[in-house]
Parts: sequence; structure tokens; C-alpha cells
Amino acid sequence: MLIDRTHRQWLWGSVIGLAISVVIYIPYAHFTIGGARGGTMIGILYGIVGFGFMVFAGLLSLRKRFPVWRMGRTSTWMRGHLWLGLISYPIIFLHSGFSFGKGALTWWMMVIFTIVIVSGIVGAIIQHYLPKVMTREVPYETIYAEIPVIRSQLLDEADVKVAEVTGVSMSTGAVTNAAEDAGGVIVTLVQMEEDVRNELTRFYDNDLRPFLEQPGGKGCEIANRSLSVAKFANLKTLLPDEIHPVIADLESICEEKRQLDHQIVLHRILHGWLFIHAPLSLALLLMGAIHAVIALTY
Amino acid sequence: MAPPKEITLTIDEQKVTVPAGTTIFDAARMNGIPIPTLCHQQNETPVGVCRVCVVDVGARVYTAACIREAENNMVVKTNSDKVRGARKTLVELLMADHPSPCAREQQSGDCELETLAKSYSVGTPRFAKRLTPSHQKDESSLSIMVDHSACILCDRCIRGCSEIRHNFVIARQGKGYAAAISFDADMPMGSSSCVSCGECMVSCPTGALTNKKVLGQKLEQGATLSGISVEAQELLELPVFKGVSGTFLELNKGAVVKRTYRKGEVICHEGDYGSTAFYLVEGSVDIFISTPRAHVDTEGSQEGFLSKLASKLKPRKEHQREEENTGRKFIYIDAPVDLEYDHPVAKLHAGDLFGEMTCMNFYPRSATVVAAEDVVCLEMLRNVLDVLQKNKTFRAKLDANYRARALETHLKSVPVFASLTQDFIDHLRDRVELQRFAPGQVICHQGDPADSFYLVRIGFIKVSEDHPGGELVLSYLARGNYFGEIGLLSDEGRRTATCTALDHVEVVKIHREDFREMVGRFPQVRASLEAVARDRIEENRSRMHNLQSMPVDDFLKQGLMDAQSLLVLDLDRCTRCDQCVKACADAHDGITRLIRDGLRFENYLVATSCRQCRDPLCMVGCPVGSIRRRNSLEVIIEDWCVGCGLCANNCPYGNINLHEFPAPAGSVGHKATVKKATSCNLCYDHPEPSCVYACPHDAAHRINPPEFFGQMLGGKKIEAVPYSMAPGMMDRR
Amino acid sequence: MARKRTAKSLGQRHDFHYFQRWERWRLLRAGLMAALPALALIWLVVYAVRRNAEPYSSGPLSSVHSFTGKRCDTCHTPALKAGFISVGFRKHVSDQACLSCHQAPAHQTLQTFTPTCASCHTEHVGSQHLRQAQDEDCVQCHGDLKVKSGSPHFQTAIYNFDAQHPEFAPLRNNARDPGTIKLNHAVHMRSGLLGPNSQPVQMQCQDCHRPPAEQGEPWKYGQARVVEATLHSQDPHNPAMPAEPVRPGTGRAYMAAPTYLSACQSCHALQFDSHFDESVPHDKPEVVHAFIVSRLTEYIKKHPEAVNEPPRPMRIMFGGTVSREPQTVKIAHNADEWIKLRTEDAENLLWHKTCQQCHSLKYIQTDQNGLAGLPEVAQSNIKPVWLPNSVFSHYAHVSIDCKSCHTRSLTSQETSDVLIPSIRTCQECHNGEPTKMGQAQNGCFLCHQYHNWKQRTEPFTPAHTLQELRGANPSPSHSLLPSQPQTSAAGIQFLNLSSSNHR
Repeated sequence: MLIDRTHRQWLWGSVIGLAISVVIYIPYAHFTIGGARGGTMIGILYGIVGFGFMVFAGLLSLRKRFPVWRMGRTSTWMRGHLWLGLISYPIIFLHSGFSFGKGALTWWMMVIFTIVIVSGIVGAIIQHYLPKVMTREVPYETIYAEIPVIRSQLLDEADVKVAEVTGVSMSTGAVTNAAEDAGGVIVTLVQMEEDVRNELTRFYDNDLRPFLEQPGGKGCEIANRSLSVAKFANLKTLLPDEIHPVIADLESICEEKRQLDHQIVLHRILHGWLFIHAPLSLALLLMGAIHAVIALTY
Repeated sequence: MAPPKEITLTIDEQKVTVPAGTTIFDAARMNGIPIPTLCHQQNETPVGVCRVCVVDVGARVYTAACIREAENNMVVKTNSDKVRGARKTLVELLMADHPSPCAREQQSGDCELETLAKSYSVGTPRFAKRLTPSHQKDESSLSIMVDHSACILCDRCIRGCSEIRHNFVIARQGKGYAAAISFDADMPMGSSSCVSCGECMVSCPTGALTNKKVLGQKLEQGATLSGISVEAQELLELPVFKGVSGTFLELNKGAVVKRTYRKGEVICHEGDYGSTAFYLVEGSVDIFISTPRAHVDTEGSQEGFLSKLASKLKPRKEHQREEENTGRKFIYIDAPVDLEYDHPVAKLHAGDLFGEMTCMNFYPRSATVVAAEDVVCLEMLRNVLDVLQKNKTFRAKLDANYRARALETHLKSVPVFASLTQDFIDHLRDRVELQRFAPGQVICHQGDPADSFYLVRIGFIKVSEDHPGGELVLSYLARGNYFGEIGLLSDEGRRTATCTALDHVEVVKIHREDFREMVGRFPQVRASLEAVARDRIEENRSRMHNLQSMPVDDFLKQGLMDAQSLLVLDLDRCTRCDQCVKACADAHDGITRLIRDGLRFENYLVATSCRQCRDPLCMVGCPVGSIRRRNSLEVIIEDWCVGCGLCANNCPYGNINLHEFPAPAGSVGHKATVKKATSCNLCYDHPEPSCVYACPHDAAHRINPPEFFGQMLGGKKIEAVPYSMAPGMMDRR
Repeated sequence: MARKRTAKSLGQRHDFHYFQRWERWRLLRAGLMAALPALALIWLVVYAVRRNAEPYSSGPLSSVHSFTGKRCDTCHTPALKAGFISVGFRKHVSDQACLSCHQAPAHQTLQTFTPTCASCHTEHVGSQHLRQAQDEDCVQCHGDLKVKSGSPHFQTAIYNFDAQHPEFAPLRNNARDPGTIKLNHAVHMRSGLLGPNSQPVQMQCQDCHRPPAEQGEPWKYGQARVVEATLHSQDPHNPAMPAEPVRPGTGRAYMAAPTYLSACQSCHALQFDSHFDESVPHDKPEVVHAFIVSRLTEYIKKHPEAVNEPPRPMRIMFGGTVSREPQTVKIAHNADEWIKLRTEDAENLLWHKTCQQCHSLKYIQTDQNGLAGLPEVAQSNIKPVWLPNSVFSHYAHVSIDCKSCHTRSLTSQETSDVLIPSIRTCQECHNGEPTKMGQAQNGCFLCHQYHNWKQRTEPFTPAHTLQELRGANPSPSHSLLPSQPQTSAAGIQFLNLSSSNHR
């Protein structure tokens, strides 16, 4: 999401709306006996407006559930969510007469509301800046939900490549005819000495395969790009020229896995704040509805 | 180029007029004058090595009719005594080394050389037999016996293996008297790269390459019924097998199976893969696609109260066909008849052959066939069908069938010819020519004089233009399409493009005179044809223009040039929330038509979703013609798709995928689900693409690549603006 | 073979239903979305099940109502009833709810509207004086005073104490003290004044004007035989102190007016005859006369020889009439005559000097006997309360010297001087900035009362039991709000835990 020129109308609309609310508030607070508070007519009006904005903000997730229905574009709803949600916070303060909630329910509501607003602002900032970062830093980006699948595909690919070259199936450990393994495709089996082949298998068993198997790069040296580059370069010096293309492929697989790990981290930042924002906002709406009913009762 | 001409020559005192460039052999054949041949096979390039087809053109030497082009005012004698004498000597010379009776003659009695010898009354040759053949008998191959002593070096096997089969196994080796055919580098056939397709054996006129009795040709076990393998005797009693070598049938015993079906039994299912054709001996069958009533809707139906309510909010247009001015529409299938869209059921009767495309080209079955009454049919493998199709009697019968029954429907199903009257069709009936082409064969070259108009009966044809930069594919034509009208209607009368057969193609060729008569008598037809011709020319021109105005770039490497509508996701705005995917699935019955993965261009992700290519490779090979363009940009898969998956394979970007859908109620068959191909159709039944509409961050855009990226490639970067404001956006609201 | 990334290979490595899968991230999110609101709901439901509406409180209760504990329905009871079942939804605190425990006598019969209890007494704002209404609550009427009929009696535009409060009524319009007791403050306050036993004393204000707290104490200069003043003086001549305008015991008792017994007696003795030390009782003239006669009678009985005492010369009474005629000396021949003569002398002294020093006496014409009749003593008209509509508390100002506010008292020589301080004196401190050093509040409530406590009723019936407040089922009778205000309820004086009302 980019908060850009297209948000201008919403920005001005919100500012003007807030200004009008404040302008109404000043004489209202001055002249109300007992002080400005939620129970007065205007206080209730502020409460309705503020809660209305909050409900609209909350309805965004419902709107997203029916993306094809013509109820206004989701991008419009998104902008509404951002700006109306933002000004609902000062409007609720106007509603309460600048009190941070004196009863248990209202106090908790204000606390949760503050957390929701703050997390929302943080989230908006994250969603403004992070996509560019992701685009730049993860050229091999794929679908987040599919990363485990892709990871296992990478693992299989690496297994096959190494098996073809060494004649040893990496997953089963059985020594087989690589040509048969490769499904009939004619592969030139490189004649390697025992110890040279062991170099590759050792590197693969100890470094590469564990790295490819696990999500994240804990405990793996080649999780670090420069170390990885160094290790692969070193490997190339030990192994004959004919299999350098395979080494290059393995390095590319490794790089892709690293990038997927990085993508996981960035994606979690990009979406993780929602774990705070969304449930709390739902709780807030629930409490707000209860507060509205009960407060009018009493 | 020389102006196109028609030439007039005299063959056997008969004046004939043929287009310039026709060989004497073809000229004679077209006019019903037979010339014997040995090395010439109609589906192979003539080489003129046997000289049996020599004719007297009044020159110093006789000329081989199969390769010599006819010239204006030529006087040809094909059967004069001298010519006959020459032929006789030739045959005699060939017979001298021939191990008569050769294996073929023994097996099936149809060795062409010996038949010729008999017809020319060549008795025992005067010439000495060669003592030792160039090679020993080669029995290394499992299925084919190679007898070099019977080989007349006609090169039919070479051409068969190379031109028809593209296997390039056989070639000539050696020279002079030691010349022989060889497999690979003179390896035994069994050790060579021969794939045992049998084309050489079928092409061989003599017993040099014959069929060994091969294991494994067993069609007895069918899907549901066991068939009875038929005795050659019994087969030969059938009129269609008249003229087919009995030995051949004997040797290929398992390749033809007789099957009986009771009324209501299914003979084959649409969408199944197969390799056999069926010939109906007795009875009639119903041939249809799925059920007569319901077409499986892959776009979601409005069932249930809530979905009906919801559908009020979804601005979908159902099955709009008004934009196409057609009365009836047809579904073209692999049978002598076509199915109507509204009522896709037809009947086939005794003497009909269906399943040719499946048998020859291994396409999936295009329709379901159910016995309408008790049926006896012959199921045959490719080699048998091949032989039958070469068999004159069979061909004549099939042709007659086609002319009697299918031609009319076929003609009428082409919208342009809808206004033809019955009597004209009757007039055309016997004048059209049914021509067959093997894969890769060029039907007409760009620049050739235009002499006929073609209707495609089966198979796929590639229409391309030659350019300095290479070949530019203009379009693909399938059954129901036609070509050749531009050349005939234009003043120059030259072909504007090259048409090549992509697989086994059969065309209905309407000669120039008949074409002229048609457009003369039916101005409506002419007008439609001209309109189509204009559109095609315009399209080609714009394509060329685009090609010239775009700077060649890495951009082209991804094939983006070919796209007319790309779904790009602006990765600087996209929060990877999957709303576009969910919206697509929502608008398409739970199956998404787009995947958020693919190659990137600049900061845009080119999503895996149909690109509405100029050169739609997906359309090649569809057995039922369900993937097509109507008269607008989007590529649509119609609801009679049989789920064979060819389009999915063909699409180079993986934009088409197969999915299971619940089978409509009452459908014939045992499956609870049917597979259909799905791809993005630009949400043509919505006001705008759902993915673009649903993106909360205005990150998804459907764009026209040259316009959208043109600015970028020209140096000016487009800022991130809402989709409706940027140029080149496919704003269809 | 190098790795190829083609659009097809990238697109087709995915499962097309990935976004419909329930994987960890999605499950976690759905779980949280369900769990947190559920948590909030559970919290509220738990309270609801226990019939505890505490979370919905809009602020802490004032300390005086905290006895209700968590029983919100003590005040928040539904207004609509069907029998004893509440069917109404609104639990707004109506005036009836307050009146079930409190008295709230009306302010003025002519007021155009009666504000609700809650409009001035705001609960749920924490520890504060509930009684303290805000200025706005008063100003809503008194800012632009209108009455139901006629024209307002009071100033019509009063907004606060600082600038717009009118001058105190006694000082306005040159009002005069109506008292008839002659008192010269200046004389009493001067230095060198002689006290009892002719000791020089320097009088302080509080020597005569006893602050309410000290009214029970013996007077500083008092004699042992002086009858001690009590809160409610038995002396019929003392001005009757009006009933406290606020609830008793709140420290706002009026300053009791000095009485003869409590202040004047020790210096201003009412001696009447040289034979006696004692004073006549400070009472009506008839009583004094009878007292004198009885004393003299007693004396002559005991001392019959006193008859022959030489007569005293005529005194010139201070302020009395001096006759220019030669005076005949009267001689008593017997006891009765002696009594009569001496009574005459004593009454002459008293009526013409002693009593007249303070009182305004009206003389009746001498009768045929030449004896002066008993004088009429004018009503003292001591005004005990100068500001009847406000409740000034001397006790709150006990640390300030009297003279610094009652500045004119030192120099006042006339009884008719009104010696209460001007409003400007009060405004020096009470100018509404209590947060500043040296300033004091000046809300209307400090001095004025809305409720006319003079009209409170007795006795008081406590409305709650301990068990009920501490969580047992609410007593049915309390939860019933009567349609008319209870006439038996009275102001809460003490939290009466007597068992007489225990249910």
C-alpha cells in the first residue's frame, strides 16, 4: 500500500471533519453543566459518530470477504478505514470529554483503543515501506503460504542434482546408477575419485542439506550469504571443472532458500502487527457496543 | 515474381488448364489421367528416381512427370507406345534384381513393382540377376524385415522416415551398384535409432521392408468389452477393405478388432486418451458431448437462496452471445458430423468412421459415443487406419460419405457461407477435392499463385508470414476455419502467407472457378469474405507495426511482446494479501485463474494469468475447439471443454490449468467429477477484471504491454497511479 | 544444465488452493480473532452472572456512597415496574432514587423549573463533596433569574462570587442594625478598659462573641456564680436562635449572639442597693421589682434597725432627668416605708441609669402616688443572623482575627452600625483560585444552600440493612420506588445501625 496523492481527498476530509468537531466541542464543553462527558446529548452524538467510524473500519475485513460484490471498491474502503479510523480516536476523546475512561470497562476500552490505533499507524507505516524493501531484497520471492512446498521442492532438486553427479541418492543413501535414476535422461557420469566425491557429499550432508531442510537458518553457516559464497568458491576449487555448473546450480538453490527465509521474516513483519490490531479491534467493537447499550441504560 | 498464370497444356490430346507450377503428374491426375509411379508417393516430395512415370513432352529425352512442372502449351504423351516401351524396359531392369516373388508379393500380393511388371507384361527379365545383394537380410528389428535384395532404392522409406515421421533414421549409403538404404550409420535396423513406427514399411512399394508378425498388437481387451480379433478373410469381405492386402491384415491380426455393443453401451468417453479409430459396420450410434442438456459451467451457478441474493451484487452477465451474429453454432468434433451447440447430439451410421484424430494424432476423444441400437464396429490401430486411408476404395467411400453428409453441414457451419443455397452446395459436392497433408507439409507458400480456397476439415494449420527477422505466426486455424480467400479476392492473386499443416490435416479444397462462381452468385458471401479478409489484413498490418515500433529489449525475452493483456502486480504497492486471488476464485466458482508467482519485470510481477497472446499456442490442438476467441480480446474456454489438457500443456506460461468440477446431474458416465480446463477470461462477464477491482491497494493492473511499458522503455517511468488513470490500462468500464 | 526460471515453471509449482488451506498462520490469526473478544466477553459475563455492574461504572463513587459496595442497583433501579418486577430497560438514576434516602427540601416555590438531583450532585467522579454543586448549576437560573409569577425578589444576574455578586443585603442601601440594645464597640475595645474587680482588661472580640465551638465553655471573665450560657439559652429575653440552616453537626452553626448572661453580666452588674452585693436578675421589670421588694423585706426583717438609717442623697442619674425643684428628703418611719423608699431608690437607679445604659426604656407617667410606674423595655431586636440565606461558618475562619474582617467594629460607636464585613472583604481571599497560594474557593455552594433545610422533616428512617448492602438479595421494599416521595424519610444524620430496623 502506498499512502500517496490519491489519499489527499480523504486526508482533507478527515481534517475538516475533525476541525468541525473540535469547533463544536469548545462551546459545548464550556456551557455544559457538569462538564463535557459522554452522557450529554452532544457527547452521545460524538460517541455515535466515533463508534460509527470504528464500525466502518471494522467492516473492512467483512468487505474483503466478498471481493467481487459491488459495494464500493475495496481500495476506497481501505482509505476510509485508514482515515476514518484515525480520526475516530480524537472524536472518542471529544465524546468522553477528554477523560481516559474512569470505569473499568471504559478504561480498558481506551487502553485497547490506544493500542489498536497505535498498532494501526505502525502497521500502515510498515505496509507503506516494506513492500519496496521486499521487492528489492527478495528477487526470488514466491507465495508465502507456499514456501514450505517450495522449500521441499528445492530440497528435491538439490538431491537430484547431487545424486546425478555422485551416483549416490541423497535421500536414500543407496548407490545407484545415476543414469537410471535420472529417468532415462542421458547424463554423463563424471568419474570422480572417491575422496573428491566425498568432499561434495560431506559438504552436502553437513552444510547444504540441513540448511535446505529447515525453515530459517539456525545453526547453518551458509545461511550467511558471504560465508556461503566463500564456501562454494572453496568447493569449486576442490572439485573438477565439469561439475562446476552443478555447483553453481546448488549455490543458486541455496541463494533461493536464503531469500525465502528472508521473505518469511519480512512477510511476518508485514502481516504480524495484524495479530495485535485485528483481534483487539474486534474486542473493542464488542466492548463498544456493550458500552453504548449499558451506558444508555444507566 | 512472375505474374500468376494458368497454363494450358495438352495431355494425351486433352487440353487441360492448370495453375502454373503444377507438375505434369498432378496435372494429369487432376484431369483423371493416370500415370504409373513407383517412387512417387503423394504425401512425399517427388524425387524422380525410378523414372517409371516418364512421359513424352516432345523433348529430346522423356521427363519424369512427378517432378517436372507443366508448362504452357506443352504437349504431353503419357501412354504412347514409345513411352510404354520405355517404361517396360525400366520395369524389366528393376525386375532383374528383384527376388520375385518378394516377401510382399507373397504376403499380400501387392508388390507394386511386380504389379507393374504384370501390367506391362514383363516376363522373365533378360538381364542377369545380381549375384550378391548389397546387404544381407536384416532381421534385427522386432517388427520389420529388411530385404535389401528387394529394394529398388526408390527412397520412399527415406522420405517416409524423414519427411513424414521426422525420425531421420534411414538414408542412402554407398554409391553406384553398391548403393543401399541404411539405418543410422549402416547399423542393423534393430540397433539403430529406429522407433519401429512402420512408416517405411508402409511406404515401401516392394518387399524390401515388410512386416514381421509382431507381438503385442492386441486390441482384444477393450475398456469394457473384449473384442474378437477378426480373421483377415472376414475383413476382406467388407467392402471398405477391398484392395487392402490380405497378408497385411493377416500380419496385423491384433490391430483390428471387431466389437459389438448393445444399445446404450458406451463406446468411448469424451476426454479419454486413445489411439484407435472406429469403423461402424452395423447399427447406428449417438455421438454427443456430455449431456444433451447441461454444459458444465465453470463460472459458478447461482444456486441457493443466499447465492441468488449475492448474485444481485455481482454484476455478472450470463452467457452473452449477442456479440456474435450467428444463427447456429457448431462444435467441431472428430467425426464426419459436427455437433450443434444448443443440441450437441448427432447420429452416425454404418459406414462412418470416427476417431481419426485420436488415432492419427493421439488427440483425446472429442465426444462420447453411445450405441443407439445394437452395433458392430471395428476398432483399429493407426497402422491399419493408415493403410485404409491410402486404400483407394476406402478413401473413395469416406470421401463419398463426407460429400453426401458432412460437406453440407460443414459448409453451412462456417458463418460466411450460411447463405449458400442447396443447389449450389449440391453443385459443389462433387467438385470439391479432399486433400490430406502430413505434419509439416506446406499447403501453400507465401507468394504462390492463388488457385483454390480451403476449408479445414480436421487438423491444425499454422498461418505465417516470412519476414527478414524470421517467421511471424499470424494465426492458427482449426476445423471450421478457412483460408486462401485473400489471395483469390485480391488483384494480384498471390498468397499473402504460408500455410503449413501442423499435424495430419485434411482440407476441403474449392477450386478457383467454383470459388469465383460462389462469390459471383452470392454477393452476401463475397461481402462477408471480404470483410473478414480486410480484418485479417488489418490485424496483420498492426501486428507488424507494433513489432517495428517496439525497441527490442530484455522485455521481449519473457515473451511479453506477445501478450495483449498482462496482469501485472505493482510490487511496491502489493502487500501480498492474496485479495486478488481470492476475488478471482470468488468470481470463478472457487478456482483461481491467477497465481501470484512468476517472472518480474522492473518492479512489476507478471502474474501467472492468461496473457491473451497474439499467437495463442493454447488453441492449437483443441479437439473440440472449445478454447477460442470470440470476437473480442479474451481467450475463452467454452463450457464443452472435454478436459484433455492439451491447451494446458501448450501454454508456455502455465496460465491454463485443469480442475475437477462436479459432473452435471444426469450425465452419462461413471465419474462424479469432470475435468475442465480453466484460464483467465478477463472477467468478460463482469464490468472489469475482479482481481483489479478487489485489490485494496490499487496494485493490480491489466495492461497493454507496449503502451504501458513503452513509456518506461522510452525512459519515462510511470508513477504509481490508480489503474484508471495510467495509459494503456485495459479499462473496460 | 542450469536452473531455468520460466513463467510456466514458477506458476505451476503451486497448489491452486493454497489460499483456502488452513495453515498455521491463518489458524493462529483466526484463533486470536476469536479468543480476544471472547476474553472480553467472558470478563463481562462473569460480572453479569454475579449481578455485579461494576465494570460499567463511569467513575469511582464518592466516599460517602461507597457503602453501597458493588450494589449498583441501590441507586440505578429501573423506572418502569409491573408489580415488583422491573420491566423497564433504562436504569437512569431518577430523583426518586436519591429521595429514597435523602431529603431534598425545595429551594423556592416560585422557581421556574426544578433541576434533577444529578444535574448538581454528580456521582461517579471520585472522592469529592457530593454536596458541592458547581457554580453553573446555580447560574443556570440565577444568571438570568425568572420566576413563575411576579418579578424576582433577588438580583437577576449573578454569575459568580468574584465580580457579579451583589453586596450583602444588610450593607446595601445603608441598612441599619435594628437592635435597641445600646452598644458602643469602640468603648469596649479600647485599651485601659476596667473589667470586673476593676482590673484593666483588653477585650477581644471573642470574649463576647463566642465562636460556636466555644459556646459551651465558661466565659473568660465570668464569675463563678454566673449562670453559664448554653447553646439554647433558657433566658426568655435572649433572642431565639433559629434552627440550623444546614444539617446539624456540620460545623456551620451560627455564631451565637452574645447574651447578658454570657457576656455582659460580669462587668455590667445590676446592683441596686448598697445593702446588697448581688445584682437584680436580668429580667422583666416586674420580676426585678418583686425581687427588690422581697430582698428588702427580708433585710428589714433581719435588721429592723436599718429603718433609722439616714436617707441617701439624690443621685444624679446619668442620662436621667434631674429635677430642679428642691428635693424633700424622705425618711422612713417603719419597715414598710423603708422598703418602699428604698425600692424607689433602687428602681430609680435601675430604671434611670443601670438598665438604661443598655436598654431603651419607655417610661410610664408617674401615678398619683408619685411613684414611677414600671418602664417598658423595648424589644432588643438583636439580629442573630445577618445573612439568613447563606451559611457562613465562623469555625472555618477561626484562625483569622475577628478584627481583620470586622474592621469597623473597633471604631463603631453606634448600635445601628452594621458591623458584618463587606463582600469585598470576603472576595479578597475567595476569588476562585484555590490552587494559588493564599487563595480560597468561591463556589456558590460554599455559602449558599439550594435545599431549604429549614423545612426538613423528622424523624429519619434508615433505608438499608447491612446484609442487603453486603450482597444478600435486595429487599423488595427498597427496590420499589414509590410513586410519591416518602414523607417519612429524613436527612441522613448518622448511619443508624440500630437493630430496631433490622429485617
